[in-house]
Amino acid sequence: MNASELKKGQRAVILRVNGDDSAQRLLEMGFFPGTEILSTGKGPFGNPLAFRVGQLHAALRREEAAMIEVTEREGNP
Amino acid sequence: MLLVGNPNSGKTTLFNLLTGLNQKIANYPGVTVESKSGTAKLYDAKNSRWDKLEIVDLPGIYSLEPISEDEREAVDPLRFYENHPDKENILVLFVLDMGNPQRSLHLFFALRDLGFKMALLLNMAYMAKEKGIEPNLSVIQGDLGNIPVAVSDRSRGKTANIVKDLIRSFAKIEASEPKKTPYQKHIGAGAEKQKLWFNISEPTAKTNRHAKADKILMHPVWGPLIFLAIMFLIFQALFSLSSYPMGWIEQGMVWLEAQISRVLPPNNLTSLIVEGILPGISGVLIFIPQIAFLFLFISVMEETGYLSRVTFLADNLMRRFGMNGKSLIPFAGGAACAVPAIMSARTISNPRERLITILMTPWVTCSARLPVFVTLIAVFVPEGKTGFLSTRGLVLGSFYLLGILTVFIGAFVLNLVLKKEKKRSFFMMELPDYRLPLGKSIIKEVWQKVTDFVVNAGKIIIAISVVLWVLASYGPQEKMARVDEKYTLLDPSLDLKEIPGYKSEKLEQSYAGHFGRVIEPVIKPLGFDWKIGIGLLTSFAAREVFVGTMNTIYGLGSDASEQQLSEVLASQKDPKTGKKVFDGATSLSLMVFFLLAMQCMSTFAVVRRETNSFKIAFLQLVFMTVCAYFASLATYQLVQLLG
Repeated sequence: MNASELKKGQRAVILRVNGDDSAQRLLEMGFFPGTEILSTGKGPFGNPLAFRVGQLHAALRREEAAMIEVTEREGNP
Repeated sequence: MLLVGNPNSGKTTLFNLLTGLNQKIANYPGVTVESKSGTAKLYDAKNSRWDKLEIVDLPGIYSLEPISEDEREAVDPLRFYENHPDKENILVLFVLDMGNPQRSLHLFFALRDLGFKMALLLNMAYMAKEKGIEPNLSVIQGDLGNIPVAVSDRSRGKTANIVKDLIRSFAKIEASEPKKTPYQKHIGAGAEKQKLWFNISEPTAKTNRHAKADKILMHPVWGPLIFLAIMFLIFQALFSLSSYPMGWIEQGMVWLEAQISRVLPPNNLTSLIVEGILPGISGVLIFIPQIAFLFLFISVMEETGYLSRVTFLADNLMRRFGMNGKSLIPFAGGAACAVPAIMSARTISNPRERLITILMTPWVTCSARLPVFVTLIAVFVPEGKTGFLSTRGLVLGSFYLLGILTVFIGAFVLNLVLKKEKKRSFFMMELPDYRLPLGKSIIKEVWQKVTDFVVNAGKIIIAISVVLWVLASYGPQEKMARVDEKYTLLDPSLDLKEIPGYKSEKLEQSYAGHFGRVIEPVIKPLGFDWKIGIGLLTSFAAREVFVGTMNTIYGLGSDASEQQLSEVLASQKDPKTGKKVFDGATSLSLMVFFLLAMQCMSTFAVVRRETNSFKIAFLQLVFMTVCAYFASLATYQLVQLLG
């Protein structure tokens, strides 16, 4: 699934980041395969989407979040 | 020595620490983003002398492979040094924000592999510790070999010394050979090294508190409501707090004018100074309290980290109109005054979004329009209530909403019309941890904005102010002299200015008065007469001047209350037709005109400053005036039709 599909409070692990230029930037920012990602909320009408990954707490637009492939972690609430 | 690192990694603070006041702007070919260059003195104990080191604070970067125009501009200076002939004498001090090491580690390795002489400063140690991140110095130093590493200290003085020691040690080492590692590999290395080099413990109590705060502040429903409440409080504070210093400035100016009039002989030059230049200067200074307070509040919001949450909430809405979440701040500020609001649009990095924001901000109903609106509403709207609320208040409120509506419609149109960018830009907005604002940074920011305004926009404001004064005080020689004669005969004992009707007639015979008559045929379809025409010209200085001009034209003193003016205006009848001059149609049409027109030379000056283009500011002026004209026309004709 994609990071854009995560619900608020849900944790997952990043598998891969697909896409063009933005993909590299996402990797550089810390959205790296193997890292845990936590969804911390959405803006009004579902955009932007906020995530915590490593030490980074940041918001991405839906299109960008959709580039991040994740797999759900065990033991989600 | 080059200072490299992420934006907000503490580079600039370090730079200021090392160079003190010995700074200037550094220019690189084809780059408009500013880098600062300065000199630091290091004491060489061995040779007992002071060495000078030139330090350049390069723009903060996230990546060596930029994907947008402004990013490229930030990276270019670094690229400039990559193939520099004197490279071996260039030291690169990498400043790492330990709050998020992974974010810039790849940069560090990439730069090392480009053959730069490196040293690493692990910065913001204190804040990182609070987050549970601690560096494992021995591991790091072991890993880096001969590249010197140091950790910053909470005390600035100590940090400065730590850095100076770092500089001394790495001035002696050799740089490593450049390698051709692909950039991607560095990114992976960064992630690995972060785990190796730092002990990162579980979220601390502080992190949990922050997360709880975010739950409310970033909530899709509560978030915006809380923001509106905060904005409302800020406005109240802005109006009440600014009024004191504004009052003092006005009083000071009046006193100054009196003093100068007393000292200098009564001639044209004195008049120019006392009635033209001084009011012009006053017109600039009067904005200082509003600018200072607005930026104080914005600065606090930014330093605490709240501003990014606001941008987060507003982004979706703003994007549909070709703007950015950050555009909300100028619009919110514009309800007080467009001048500082437009200045605050600088935070929007995307030029197109910034331009649309700047162009639309003047359409937010600002506080200067209030005196005009209040006076005119009182002319044609009866007192009393509609339901719970005062009718007059309702009309005022609807004009506010109308203003906001125009902003969005205008932005929508501009978004369609302006050339779109080819590449889709990467958007990521960091939500920094909440922290207490640093008094020093805030004061510095406010000071910078105030001086920028006074120096840059101030020049234009004073110039226009003088021109308007000349137009309103001078006229065709003969006609002006005739007015003087007439009133001298009327009452030779009084000073001309004291005789009722004198000022009014003088104004009518001035160039401004002739301007009014000349444009009368053009503004008649809007329901305006030539007297209003004069007011339209003079209020270009500032909207509230309209009220003052009307006071003069209709013979009231400059300290007349709004109510008095409203009553006088309401009773004006056209001498030929006997019809009311300020009937509902005219009043509404005039209000619409003020809603849309750029009756504010200060706005013009600020837009020119922020866009660096007289052309854009001028186009905006023309565009807004044209819109105002046709909207007024439509309003007047429509109301006439409906009877």
